[in-house]
Amino acid sequence: MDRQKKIHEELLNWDDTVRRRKITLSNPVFIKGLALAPIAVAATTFKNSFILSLMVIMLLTPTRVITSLITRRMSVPLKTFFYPLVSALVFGAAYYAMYRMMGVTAFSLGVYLPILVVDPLIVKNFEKTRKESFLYSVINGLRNTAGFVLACMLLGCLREFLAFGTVAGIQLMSVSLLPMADKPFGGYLIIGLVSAVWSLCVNLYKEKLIKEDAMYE
Amino acid sequence: MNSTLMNTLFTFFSYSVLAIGAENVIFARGLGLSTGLRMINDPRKDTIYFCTALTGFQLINSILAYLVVPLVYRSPLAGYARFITPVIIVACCAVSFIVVVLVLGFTLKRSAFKKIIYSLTGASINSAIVGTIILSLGRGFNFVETIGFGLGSSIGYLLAMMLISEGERKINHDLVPQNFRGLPITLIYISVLALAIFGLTGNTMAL
Repeated sequence: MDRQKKIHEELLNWDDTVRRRKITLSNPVFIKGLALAPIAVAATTFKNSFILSLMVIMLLTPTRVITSLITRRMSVPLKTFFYPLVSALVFGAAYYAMYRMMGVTAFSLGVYLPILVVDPLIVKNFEKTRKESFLYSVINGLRNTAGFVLACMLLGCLREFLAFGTVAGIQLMSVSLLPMADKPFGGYLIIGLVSAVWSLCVNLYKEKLIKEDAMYE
Repeated sequence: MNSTLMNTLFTFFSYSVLAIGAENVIFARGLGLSTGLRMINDPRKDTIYFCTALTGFQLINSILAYLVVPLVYRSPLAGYARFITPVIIVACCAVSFIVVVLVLGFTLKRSAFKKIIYSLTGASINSAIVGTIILSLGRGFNFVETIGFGLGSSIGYLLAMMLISEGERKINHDLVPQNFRGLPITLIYISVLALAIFGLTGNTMAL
Protein backbone atom coordinates (compact mmCIF):
# COMPACT_ATOMS: atom_id res chain seq x y z
CA MET A 1 0.00 0.00 0.00
CA ASP A 2 2.83 2.33 0.97
CA ARG A 3 4.72 1.56 -2.21
CA GLN A 4 1.60 2.14 -4.31
CA LYS A 5 1.09 5.54 -2.68
CA LYS A 6 4.77 6.41 -3.11
CA ILE A 7 4.77 5.51 -6.80
CA HIS A 8 1.56 7.41 -7.41
CA GLU A 9 2.92 10.53 -5.71
CA GLU A 10 6.22 10.26 -7.58
CA LEU A 11 4.37 10.18 -10.91
CA LEU A 12 1.91 12.87 -9.91
CA ASN A 13 4.76 15.23 -8.96
CA TRP A 14 7.21 13.99 -11.61
CA ASP A 15 8.91 17.38 -12.04
CA ASP A 16 9.59 17.54 -8.29
CA THR A 17 10.82 13.94 -8.29
CA VAL A 18 13.23 14.75 -11.12
CA ARG A 19 14.40 17.93 -9.37
CA ARG A 20 15.04 16.06 -6.11
CA ARG A 21 16.98 13.17 -7.66
CA LYS A 22 19.97 15.13 -8.90
CA ILE A 23 22.29 12.13 -8.89
CA THR A 24 20.21 10.07 -11.31
CA LEU A 25 17.08 11.63 -12.85
CA SER A 26 18.49 15.15 -13.29
CA ASN A 27 22.22 14.47 -13.27
CA PRO A 28 24.04 17.82 -13.64
CA VAL A 29 26.33 16.50 -16.41
CA PHE A 30 24.38 13.88 -18.38
CA ILE A 31 20.93 15.48 -18.22
CA LYS A 32 21.55 19.19 -17.63
CA GLY A 33 24.83 19.55 -19.53
CA LEU A 34 26.63 21.52 -16.80
CA ALA A 35 30.44 21.66 -16.38
CA LEU A 36 30.96 20.32 -19.90
CA ALA A 37 34.31 22.09 -20.44
CA PRO A 38 36.20 20.47 -17.55
CA ILE A 39 34.49 17.12 -18.10
CA ALA A 40 35.03 16.94 -21.88
CA VAL A 41 38.58 18.25 -21.96
CA ALA A 42 40.14 17.51 -18.56
CA ALA A 43 38.38 14.39 -17.21
CA THR A 44 40.43 12.01 -19.36
CA THR A 45 41.76 9.70 -16.64
CA PHE A 46 40.83 8.45 -13.17
CA LYS A 47 43.44 10.77 -11.65
CA ASN A 48 42.21 13.89 -13.46
CA SER A 49 38.61 13.06 -12.62
CA PHE A 50 39.56 12.63 -8.97
CA ILE A 51 41.22 16.09 -8.91
CA LEU A 52 38.16 17.68 -10.58
CA SER A 53 35.77 15.90 -8.20
CA LEU A 54 37.78 16.92 -5.15
CA MET A 55 37.64 20.57 -6.23
CA VAL A 56 33.87 20.42 -6.84
CA ILE A 57 33.37 18.79 -3.42
CA MET A 58 35.26 21.67 -1.78
CA LEU A 59 33.67 24.38 -3.96
CA LEU A 60 30.02 23.70 -4.77
CA THR A 61 28.22 23.30 -1.44
CA PRO A 62 30.17 25.97 0.50
CA THR A 63 29.61 28.51 -2.33
CA ARG A 64 25.91 27.70 -2.47
CA VAL A 65 25.46 27.91 1.31
CA ILE A 66 27.37 31.20 1.68
CA THR A 67 25.60 32.86 -1.25
CA SER A 68 22.15 31.67 -0.14
CA LEU A 69 22.77 33.30 3.24
CA ILE A 70 24.05 36.62 1.88
CA THR A 71 22.20 37.24 -1.41
CA ARG A 72 18.59 36.90 -0.22
CA ARG A 73 17.73 40.53 -0.84
CA MET A 74 19.89 41.04 -3.95
CA SER A 75 18.59 41.59 -7.50
CA VAL A 76 19.70 39.26 -10.33
CA PRO A 77 22.31 41.66 -11.83
CA LEU A 78 23.94 42.06 -8.42
CA LYS A 79 23.83 38.33 -7.76
CA THR A 80 25.51 37.77 -11.14
CA PHE A 81 28.77 38.99 -9.68
CA PHE A 82 28.32 38.21 -6.08
CA TYR A 83 28.03 34.47 -6.80
CA PRO A 84 31.29 34.21 -8.83
CA LEU A 85 33.11 36.45 -6.33
CA VAL A 86 32.16 34.16 -3.43
CA SER A 87 32.95 31.16 -5.60
CA ALA A 88 36.38 32.65 -6.50
CA LEU A 89 37.19 33.26 -2.83
CA VAL A 90 36.18 29.70 -1.86
CA PHE A 91 38.14 28.42 -4.86
CA GLY A 92 41.29 30.27 -3.77
CA ALA A 93 41.16 28.58 -0.36
CA ALA A 94 40.28 25.16 -1.83
CA TYR A 95 43.03 25.42 -4.48
CA TYR A 96 45.60 26.27 -1.81
CA ALA A 97 44.40 23.36 0.34
CA MET A 98 44.75 21.02 -2.66
CA TYR A 99 48.23 22.36 -3.35
CA ARG A 100 49.21 21.63 0.27
CA MET A 101 47.75 18.11 0.00
CA MET A 102 49.06 16.98 -3.39
CA GLY A 103 51.74 19.52 -4.39
CA VAL A 104 52.05 20.60 -8.03
CA THR A 105 49.69 17.80 -9.13
CA ALA A 106 46.93 20.24 -8.14
CA PHE A 107 48.00 22.46 -11.06
CA SER A 108 48.02 19.64 -13.63
CA LEU A 109 44.58 20.49 -15.06
CA GLY A 110 45.70 24.00 -16.03
CA VAL A 111 42.83 26.34 -16.79
CA TYR A 112 40.13 23.71 -16.12
CA LEU A 113 40.13 24.05 -12.33
CA PRO A 114 40.00 27.88 -12.19
CA ILE A 115 37.13 28.06 -14.73
CA LEU A 116 34.94 26.07 -12.33
CA VAL A 117 34.59 29.40 -10.49
CA VAL A 118 32.21 30.66 -13.20
CA ASP A 119 30.78 27.35 -14.43
CA PRO A 120 26.96 27.15 -14.37
CA LEU A 121 27.36 24.05 -12.15
CA ILE A 122 28.59 26.34 -9.36
CA VAL A 123 26.96 29.69 -10.11
CA LYS A 124 23.75 29.00 -12.08
CA ASN A 125 21.65 29.80 -9.01
CA PHE A 126 22.15 33.54 -9.47
CA GLU A 127 19.41 33.43 -12.11
CA LYS A 128 16.87 32.18 -9.57
CA THR A 129 14.66 34.74 -7.89
CA ARG A 130 13.42 32.24 -5.28
CA LYS A 131 15.08 32.46 -1.86
CA GLU A 132 16.84 29.35 -0.55
CA SER A 133 16.82 28.21 3.06
CA PHE A 134 20.09 27.13 4.66
CA LEU A 135 19.03 23.46 4.82
CA TYR A 136 17.75 23.44 1.22
CA SER A 137 21.02 24.91 -0.07
CA VAL A 138 23.07 22.31 1.86
CA ILE A 139 20.96 19.38 0.64
CA ASN A 140 20.80 20.57 -2.96
CA GLY A 141 24.51 21.42 -2.95
CA LEU A 142 25.38 17.91 -1.75
CA ARG A 143 23.03 16.28 -4.29
CA ASN A 144 24.56 18.27 -7.16
CA THR A 145 28.06 17.45 -5.92
CA ALA A 146 27.24 13.72 -5.76
CA GLY A 147 25.73 13.84 -9.27
CA PHE A 148 28.83 15.56 -10.65
CA VAL A 149 31.28 13.24 -8.87
CA LEU A 150 29.45 10.15 -10.18
CA ALA A 151 29.47 11.45 -13.77
CA CYS A 152 33.06 12.71 -13.60
CA MET A 153 34.52 9.49 -12.15
CA LEU A 154 32.49 7.32 -14.52
CA LEU A 155 33.67 9.27 -17.56
CA GLY A 156 37.28 9.47 -16.32
CA CYS A 157 37.49 5.68 -15.89
CA LEU A 158 35.69 4.99 -19.19
CA ARG A 159 37.88 7.37 -21.18
CA GLU A 160 41.10 6.08 -19.58
CA PHE A 161 40.07 2.52 -20.38
CA LEU A 162 39.14 3.33 -23.98
CA ALA A 163 42.19 5.51 -24.66
CA PHE A 164 44.95 3.63 -22.80
CA GLY A 165 43.48 0.27 -21.73
CA THR A 166 44.02 1.15 -18.06
CA VAL A 167 41.81 2.17 -15.13
CA ALA A 168 43.41 4.15 -12.29
CA GLY A 169 46.78 3.26 -13.81
CA ILE A 170 46.13 -0.50 -13.67
CA GLN A 171 46.67 -2.16 -17.06
CA LEU A 172 43.53 -4.08 -18.12
CA MET A 173 44.19 -4.36 -21.85
CA SER A 174 47.33 -4.12 -23.96
CA VAL A 175 45.49 -2.31 -26.77
CA SER A 176 43.61 0.97 -26.76
CA LEU A 177 40.10 0.54 -28.11
CA LEU A 178 39.47 4.21 -28.92
CA PRO A 179 42.67 6.32 -28.88
CA MET A 180 40.68 9.52 -29.47
CA ALA A 181 38.84 9.09 -26.14
CA ASP A 182 41.29 11.37 -24.33
CA LYS A 183 40.87 14.22 -26.85
CA PRO A 184 38.18 16.92 -26.50
CA PHE A 185 36.20 15.63 -29.52
CA GLY A 186 36.35 12.11 -28.06
CA GLY A 187 35.10 13.58 -24.79
CA TYR A 188 32.09 15.20 -26.49
CA LEU A 189 31.29 11.96 -28.31
CA ILE A 190 31.52 9.79 -25.18
CA ILE A 191 29.52 12.24 -23.03
CA GLY A 192 26.88 12.39 -25.81
CA LEU A 193 26.62 8.59 -25.97
CA VAL A 194 26.56 8.14 -22.17
CA SER A 195 23.92 10.92 -21.95
CA ALA A 196 21.76 9.02 -24.44
CA VAL A 197 22.08 5.80 -22.40
CA TRP A 198 21.37 7.78 -19.21
CA SER A 199 18.29 9.32 -20.81
CA LEU A 200 17.14 5.83 -21.89
CA CYS A 201 17.48 4.57 -18.28
CA VAL A 202 15.47 7.56 -16.97
CA ASN A 203 12.72 6.89 -19.54
CA LEU A 204 12.70 3.15 -18.72
CA TYR A 205 12.43 3.96 -15.01
CA LYS A 206 9.47 6.25 -15.65
CA GLU A 207 7.78 3.61 -17.82
CA LYS A 208 8.31 1.03 -15.07
CA LEU A 209 6.66 3.32 -12.52
CA ILE A 210 3.70 3.96 -14.85
CA LYS A 211 3.25 0.20 -15.37
CA GLU A 212 3.46 -0.51 -11.63
CA ASP A 213 1.00 2.28 -10.90
CA ALA A 214 -1.45 0.91 -13.50
CA MET A 215 -1.06 -2.59 -12.04
CA TYR A 216 -1.97 -1.42 -8.51
CA GLU A 217 -5.02 0.42 -9.83
CA MET B 1 57.97 52.88 -38.16
CA ASN B 2 55.91 51.28 -40.94
CA SER B 3 57.59 47.94 -40.34
CA THR B 4 56.76 48.10 -36.59
CA LEU B 5 53.14 48.92 -37.35
CA MET B 6 52.95 46.10 -39.91
CA ASN B 7 54.49 43.66 -37.41
CA THR B 8 51.98 44.70 -34.75
CA LEU B 9 49.05 44.31 -37.14
CA PHE B 10 50.37 40.96 -38.33
CA THR B 11 50.71 39.71 -34.73
CA PHE B 12 47.21 40.97 -33.91
CA PHE B 13 45.59 39.24 -36.90
CA SER B 14 47.65 36.05 -36.48
CA TYR B 15 46.50 35.60 -32.89
CA SER B 16 42.92 36.49 -33.81
CA VAL B 17 42.81 33.96 -36.65
CA LEU B 18 44.41 31.28 -34.45
CA ALA B 19 41.82 31.88 -31.76
CA ILE B 20 38.97 31.72 -34.27
CA GLY B 21 40.11 28.47 -35.88
CA ALA B 22 42.82 26.20 -34.51
CA GLU B 23 42.43 27.37 -30.91
CA ASN B 24 38.65 27.75 -31.09
CA VAL B 25 37.31 28.35 -27.63
CA ILE B 26 34.50 25.77 -28.01
CA PHE B 27 35.81 23.09 -30.37
CA ALA B 28 39.40 22.94 -29.11
CA ARG B 29 38.91 23.80 -25.43
CA GLY B 30 35.20 23.49 -24.62
CA LEU B 31 35.26 26.83 -22.78
CA GLY B 32 31.83 28.42 -22.32
CA LEU B 33 30.02 25.42 -23.80
CA SER B 34 27.57 24.89 -20.91
CA THR B 35 26.70 28.61 -20.88
CA GLY B 36 26.34 28.60 -24.68
CA LEU B 37 24.01 25.60 -24.73
CA ARG B 38 21.88 27.16 -21.98
CA MET B 39 21.76 30.40 -23.99
CA ILE B 40 20.72 28.62 -27.21
CA ASN B 41 17.86 26.88 -25.39
CA ASP B 42 16.71 30.08 -23.66
CA PRO B 43 14.11 31.80 -25.91
CA ARG B 44 14.70 35.11 -24.09
CA LYS B 45 18.30 35.26 -25.34
CA ASP B 46 19.43 36.04 -28.88
CA THR B 47 22.66 34.36 -30.06
CA ILE B 48 24.05 37.34 -32.01
CA TYR B 49 23.19 39.84 -29.31
CA PHE B 50 24.56 37.59 -26.54
CA CYS B 51 27.85 36.97 -28.38
CA THR B 52 28.26 40.66 -29.30
CA ALA B 53 27.91 41.57 -25.62
CA LEU B 54 30.38 38.78 -24.77
CA THR B 55 32.89 40.19 -27.30
CA GLY B 56 32.68 43.63 -25.69
CA PHE B 57 33.15 42.22 -22.20
CA GLN B 58 35.97 39.96 -23.39
CA LEU B 59 37.93 42.95 -24.72
CA ILE B 60 37.36 45.13 -21.65
CA ASN B 61 38.16 42.30 -19.22
CA SER B 62 41.26 41.19 -21.15
CA ILE B 63 42.67 44.73 -20.94
CA LEU B 64 41.76 45.10 -17.25
CA ALA B 65 43.23 41.72 -16.30
CA TYR B 66 46.37 42.38 -18.39
CA LEU B 67 46.96 45.57 -16.39
CA VAL B 68 45.90 44.36 -12.92
CA VAL B 69 47.05 40.72 -12.55
CA PRO B 70 50.81 41.45 -13.01
CA LEU B 71 50.54 43.85 -10.05
CA VAL B 72 49.72 40.86 -7.81
CA TYR B 73 52.90 39.10 -8.98
CA ARG B 74 54.90 42.20 -7.99
CA SER B 75 53.20 42.57 -4.60
CA PRO B 76 54.02 40.83 -1.27
CA LEU B 77 51.24 38.35 -2.17
CA ALA B 78 53.22 37.07 -5.19
CA GLY B 79 53.64 33.64 -3.56
CA TYR B 80 49.87 33.20 -3.55
CA ALA B 81 49.23 34.83 -6.96
CA ARG B 82 48.09 31.57 -8.57
CA PHE B 83 45.36 31.22 -5.96
CA ILE B 84 44.31 34.90 -6.06
CA THR B 85 44.21 35.30 -9.87
CA PRO B 86 40.63 33.94 -10.34
CA VAL B 87 39.38 36.42 -7.70
CA ILE B 88 41.11 39.29 -9.52
CA ILE B 89 39.69 38.22 -12.91
CA VAL B 90 36.14 37.92 -11.51
CA ALA B 91 36.60 41.34 -9.86
CA CYS B 92 37.66 42.79 -13.24
CA CYS B 93 34.50 41.27 -14.79
CA ALA B 94 32.43 42.80 -11.98
CA VAL B 95 33.91 46.27 -12.53
CA SER B 96 33.34 46.17 -16.31
CA PHE B 97 29.79 44.86 -15.85
CA ILE B 98 28.91 47.58 -13.33
CA VAL B 99 30.35 50.30 -15.61
CA VAL B 100 28.41 48.97 -18.65
CA VAL B 101 25.18 48.65 -16.63
CA LEU B 102 25.54 52.20 -15.30
CA VAL B 103 26.24 53.63 -18.77
CA LEU B 104 23.29 51.76 -20.30
CA GLY B 105 21.06 52.66 -17.34
CA PHE B 106 21.69 56.37 -17.89
CA THR B 107 21.46 56.30 -21.69
CA LEU B 108 18.66 53.80 -22.47
CA LYS B 109 14.94 53.93 -21.75
CA ARG B 110 13.80 51.76 -18.83
CA SER B 111 11.97 49.23 -21.05
CA ALA B 112 14.96 48.80 -23.41
CA PHE B 113 17.33 48.52 -20.44
CA LYS B 114 15.22 45.77 -18.82
CA LYS B 115 15.14 43.91 -22.12
CA ILE B 116 18.92 43.69 -22.55
CA ILE B 117 20.06 43.37 -18.94
CA TYR B 118 19.06 39.68 -18.86
CA SER B 119 21.39 38.80 -21.74
CA LEU B 120 24.20 40.92 -20.31
CA THR B 121 24.25 38.98 -17.03
CA GLY B 122 25.06 35.71 -18.81
CA ALA B 123 27.43 37.23 -21.38
CA SER B 124 29.50 39.24 -18.93
CA ILE B 125 30.90 36.33 -16.95
CA ASN B 126 31.42 32.79 -18.13
CA SER B 127 34.21 30.30 -18.62
CA ALA B 128 34.87 31.48 -22.21
CA ILE B 129 35.92 34.90 -20.88
CA VAL B 130 37.72 33.74 -17.73
CA GLY B 131 39.40 30.79 -19.48
CA THR B 132 40.71 32.95 -22.34
CA ILE B 133 42.11 35.51 -19.90
CA ILE B 134 43.84 32.82 -17.81
CA LEU B 135 45.32 31.28 -20.99
CA SER B 136 46.61 34.68 -22.20
CA LEU B 137 48.16 35.45 -18.81
CA GLY B 138 49.64 31.97 -18.44
CA ARG B 139 51.34 32.15 -21.84
CA GLY B 140 52.79 35.59 -21.13
CA PHE B 141 51.14 37.30 -24.12
CA ASN B 142 52.00 40.96 -24.67
CA PHE B 143 49.26 43.62 -24.98
CA VAL B 144 48.67 43.21 -28.74
CA GLU B 145 48.65 39.40 -28.50
CA THR B 146 46.22 39.54 -25.56
CA ILE B 147 43.77 41.79 -27.43
CA GLY B 148 44.11 39.77 -30.66
CA PHE B 149 43.61 36.47 -28.84
CA GLY B 150 40.66 37.83 -26.83
CA LEU B 151 38.92 39.27 -29.89
CA GLY B 152 39.55 36.11 -31.92
CA SER B 153 38.24 33.93 -29.09
CA SER B 154 34.96 35.78 -28.87
CA ILE B 155 34.51 35.82 -32.66
CA GLY B 156 35.30 32.09 -32.63
CA TYR B 157 32.72 31.65 -29.86
CA LEU B 158 30.10 33.51 -31.93
CA LEU B 159 30.79 31.39 -35.04
CA ALA B 160 30.75 28.16 -33.01
CA MET B 161 27.47 29.11 -31.33
CA MET B 162 25.86 29.97 -34.68
CA LEU B 163 26.98 26.60 -36.08
CA ILE B 164 25.70 24.77 -33.01
CA SER B 165 22.35 26.57 -32.83
CA GLU B 166 21.74 26.02 -36.56
CA GLY B 167 22.76 22.36 -36.21
CA GLU B 168 20.52 21.93 -33.17
CA ARG B 169 17.59 23.39 -35.05
CA LYS B 170 18.06 20.88 -37.87
CA ILE B 171 18.87 17.72 -35.90
CA ASN B 172 16.16 17.96 -33.24
CA HIS B 173 13.39 16.37 -35.28
CA ASP B 174 11.39 13.15 -35.25
CA LEU B 175 13.96 11.08 -37.18
CA VAL B 176 16.39 11.29 -34.26
CA PRO B 177 15.74 8.49 -31.69
CA GLN B 178 13.97 9.87 -28.63
CA ASN B 179 16.84 9.16 -26.21
CA PHE B 180 19.32 11.02 -28.41
CA ARG B 181 17.26 14.20 -28.70
CA GLY B 182 18.52 17.31 -26.92
CA LEU B 183 21.91 17.19 -25.20
CA PRO B 184 23.21 13.80 -26.53
CA ILE B 185 22.76 14.54 -30.25
CA THR B 186 24.05 18.11 -29.79
CA LEU B 187 27.25 16.81 -28.15
CA ILE B 188 27.76 14.21 -30.87
CA TYR B 189 27.32 16.98 -33.47
CA ILE B 190 29.86 19.17 -31.63
CA SER B 191 32.28 16.23 -31.48
CA VAL B 192 32.14 15.89 -35.28
CA LEU B 193 32.82 19.62 -35.73
CA ALA B 194 35.66 19.48 -33.16
CA LEU B 195 37.13 16.45 -34.92
CA ALA B 196 37.15 18.42 -38.20
CA ILE B 197 39.02 21.32 -36.54
CA PHE B 198 41.54 18.93 -34.98
CA GLY B 199 41.97 17.24 -38.36
CA LEU B 200 42.79 20.58 -39.95
CA THR B 201 45.32 21.54 -37.27
CA GLY B 202 47.05 18.15 -37.28
CA ASN B 203 45.86 17.12 -33.82
CA THR B 204 48.04 19.64 -31.99
CA MET B 205 47.47 22.92 -30.19
CA ALA B 206 48.85 25.77 -32.29
CA LEU B 207 50.06 27.81 -29.31
